[in-house]
Amino acid sequence: MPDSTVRTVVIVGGGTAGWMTAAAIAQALGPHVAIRLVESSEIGTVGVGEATIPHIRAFNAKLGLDEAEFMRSTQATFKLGIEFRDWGRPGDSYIHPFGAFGPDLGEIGFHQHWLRLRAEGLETSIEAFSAPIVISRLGRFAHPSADPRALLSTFSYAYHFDAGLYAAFLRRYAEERGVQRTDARVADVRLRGADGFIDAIVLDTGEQVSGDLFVDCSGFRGLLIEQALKAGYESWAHWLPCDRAVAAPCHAQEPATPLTRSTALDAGWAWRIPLQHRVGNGYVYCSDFISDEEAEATLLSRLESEPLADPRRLRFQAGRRRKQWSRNCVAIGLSSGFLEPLESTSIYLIQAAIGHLISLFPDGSWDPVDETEFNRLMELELERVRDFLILHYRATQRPGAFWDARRQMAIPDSLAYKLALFEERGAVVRYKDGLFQEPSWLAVYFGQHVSPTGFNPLSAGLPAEALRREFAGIEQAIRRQAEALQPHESYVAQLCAVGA
Amino acid sequence: MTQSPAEIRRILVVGGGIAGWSAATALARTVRGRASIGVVETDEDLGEPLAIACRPDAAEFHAMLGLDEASILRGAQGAYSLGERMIGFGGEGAAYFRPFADLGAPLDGASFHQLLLRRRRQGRPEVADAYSLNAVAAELGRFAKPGPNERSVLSTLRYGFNLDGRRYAAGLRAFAESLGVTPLRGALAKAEATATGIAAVVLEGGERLEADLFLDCTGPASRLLGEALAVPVESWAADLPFDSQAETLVPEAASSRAFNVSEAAAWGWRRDTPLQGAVARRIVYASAHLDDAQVLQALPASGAVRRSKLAFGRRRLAWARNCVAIGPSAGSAGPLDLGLTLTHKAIRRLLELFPTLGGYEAARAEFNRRADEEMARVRDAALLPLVLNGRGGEPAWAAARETPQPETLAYRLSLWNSRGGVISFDEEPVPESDWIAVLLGQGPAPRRGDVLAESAMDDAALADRLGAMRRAIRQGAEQMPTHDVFLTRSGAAAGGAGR
Repeated sequence: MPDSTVRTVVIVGGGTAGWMTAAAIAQALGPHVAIRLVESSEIGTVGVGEATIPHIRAFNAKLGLDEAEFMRSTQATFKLGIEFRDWGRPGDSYIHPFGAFGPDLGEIGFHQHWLRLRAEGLETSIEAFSAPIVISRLGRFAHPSADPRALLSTFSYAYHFDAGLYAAFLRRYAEERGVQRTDARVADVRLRGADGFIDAIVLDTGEQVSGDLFVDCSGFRGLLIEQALKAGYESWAHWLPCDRAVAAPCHAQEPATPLTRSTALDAGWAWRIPLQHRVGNGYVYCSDFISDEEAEATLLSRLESEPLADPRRLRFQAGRRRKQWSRNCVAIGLSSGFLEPLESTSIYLIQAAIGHLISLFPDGSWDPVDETEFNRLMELELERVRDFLILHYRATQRPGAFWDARRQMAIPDSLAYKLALFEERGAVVRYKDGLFQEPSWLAVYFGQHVSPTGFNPLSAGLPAEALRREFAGIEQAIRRQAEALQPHESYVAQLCAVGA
Repeated sequence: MTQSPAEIRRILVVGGGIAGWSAATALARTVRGRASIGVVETDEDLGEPLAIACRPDAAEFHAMLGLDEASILRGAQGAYSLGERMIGFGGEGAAYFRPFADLGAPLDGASFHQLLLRRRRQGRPEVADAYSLNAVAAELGRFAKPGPNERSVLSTLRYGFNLDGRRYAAGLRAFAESLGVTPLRGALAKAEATATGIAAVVLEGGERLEADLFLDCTGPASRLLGEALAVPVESWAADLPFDSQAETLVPEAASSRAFNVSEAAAWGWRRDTPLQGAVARRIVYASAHLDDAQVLQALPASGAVRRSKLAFGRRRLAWARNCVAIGPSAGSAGPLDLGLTLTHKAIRRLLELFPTLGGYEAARAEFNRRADEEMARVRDAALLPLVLNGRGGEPAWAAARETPQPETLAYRLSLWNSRGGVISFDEEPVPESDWIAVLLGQGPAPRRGDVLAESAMDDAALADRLGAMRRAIRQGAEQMPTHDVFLTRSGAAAGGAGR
């Protein structure tokens, strides 16, 4: 190792972000850096996430986690997508699946052919051509086939898990690999006079913890990145005005489905996340349109069984820290910005930041290119997720004051551009960096009734009768194969049975 | 509710050549008789080189058209290609290979090129070529297509091929005709522009051809988009000291090579693109340092020589009103031999965003946005080996080092110089592996090591694993047939099966 090196990493804050960071750095850089994590058992964690997207599997795989053991330890279930209820219009239900709609038929995307057949009278929903949608609506599950020619290889999957248990699971992993944990509060942050870098944090025990690199996983308040380094915050509340949530778990009254559920309500939306041992519930709302008491009452009235704990209230503001990396401090998790969990992106954004930090890991020279590149990549990630979230609020015919205001709000130019292209001809803007790709955009556009006025005219090059037969064949094959699968709940029980 | 859009019924491709015939073929395969497709073969200089260097992405395009690769090679004196040998760019006597495949393989989560840089910092003279099966096979005169077994080193091969441009265009033309495309011959007199776009083109003989959609494949002159619709060119050519090019076909009886060669000289560089039985030779040079007589010596040429100014830049809009530029009419990669890749990308983009008779503003904007970004990326990639040249005492190359760098190129180089970082942006037509090859081959040593690579394993383990990788690659290459044998076996040999 060169002399000018980062030898000590101090992570402030446990929780999902802190322990994911600790585990990943311990795995990647092992004995070359000493990792110290400071968390206070007196401060609660938000327990973000619970619902994830398929990228989490790459994270777990990198750590070398065994899937069954991980699922057992975190009460996890599988997830094939998100069901959105009442979003486009009251009474609606659509699924954003982890997989494409239909196979490619030549150069023209499958959905373009579907649009054309629909114009010619086809009534079948595009959902019938998505294996993960059909499987999850039946409450079934199977791992995707490893054979790329198989119909059931065309989807991916993620998990629902207890974020508190996941953090605890990763804590054991990290501590086994030498991460040192200190239970204390941070009383003060000391900056170096010369360059404003963080020199040390002072704990309420009086101990001073110095380090080379500090990772701020302290949550919304951004103890290091904001309170000490004043990185600044860019608010996106004018686009995403939901600013509070109330959450309460309960027992399940139905078998666990492989779906996260998001239901639009008068002043926001409610989540439902089925785990093995309980169901996570919450109401994300805009405080201009509903009081905390009303929101809590609404949540409780919707629970399928008695709450297992007192409702917890959270406050936040959509936006991003202007600099996610500033000097020798990197913000990961809620300290770096907040986007509501409508598309289960919280843990993904943690994971993306960890990945970029490890691949741009600094040395003692603190060349600003690392910081610049990290911030560029995270800005792209956040803005592209942001646009996708805004689309859900924009494309709706729901009644009510909150929803009227959403329909009428100005949207970012980057989203207006994407919408115009879709409305004209059902085409999706593609990009390399950033999370949501074509199938995701299509699911929400179609699911929320954004109807293109046209489609790719080259679709007409395929004879209608042959195309209809092809479509019918795909639909039947998906249904037949989905019906042959096992129920999700028993699949999970079998996998997680000890000794299995 | 979605309406059935008013379909375009008449498509006119103006200018034949590879761009025109590729576009006509792809469209004919897709519209299947629902629109008429005409191609006017004009007498323009289409700006297409004597030999077409196809990168690996060409295979996908040919497969989409349903064209058999061996018969394309057979018909166009084609030779397979594993990449390009770059001689003298890093300095007199320095050489490296730019393979069409990734270099090495990541070890323990560290990227391969960072591990090589770690060895170099320790004073080991690591040559990147030894970790590329493409490079080693090329050096040994071998060739094969990638093997199916993912655990075998043979699966790491990636290939392109070189084609005789005239014959390739003729093959595409014959194929297009078999699909019902109508060729017309005639010099282009003018294109009639109206507020809605091109109404018709008029030939010298007086024939007037109307259409709903026009594809401008008239080469650098861009007779429709540039001339008739007055869309200007954004040229980057003045940034470069190398302003001219000349090319010729040199017969070569000896066995063919499965790679291209670029060799730098005081005035520019010479590029050999091998075909079966011939080599297409092109020089790109600074006319201030090479006069007309010297051009003939520099090539050297025995047959006809084609000379032109080096075009480098993009049309401000690749698609304006009802006219889409495909090929050199839309832009030129200048020093970088990327014409076919750009042509194919433009055609696929057009299929994806194909217009109707009205109401396609968003599709056009998206086509132009992507074309624009793509050319900006091309500009970076084309400048890279020039700005990083290490040639001493030569005014042209000294000037090349001082070429103004677009912001994105400067940013990429700052990442490399600092920590050996390599990034790619949206719409990148050149893969990251190519950037790595050039940066390792002629770039400066980064100031510091990559922490992941530094901590991946100890020095002895790294030396062992790199040694094993080199041996596996050499053994793999030695198992491969020679290029000539492969051409014959695969039915691609000109004058072989099928002729």
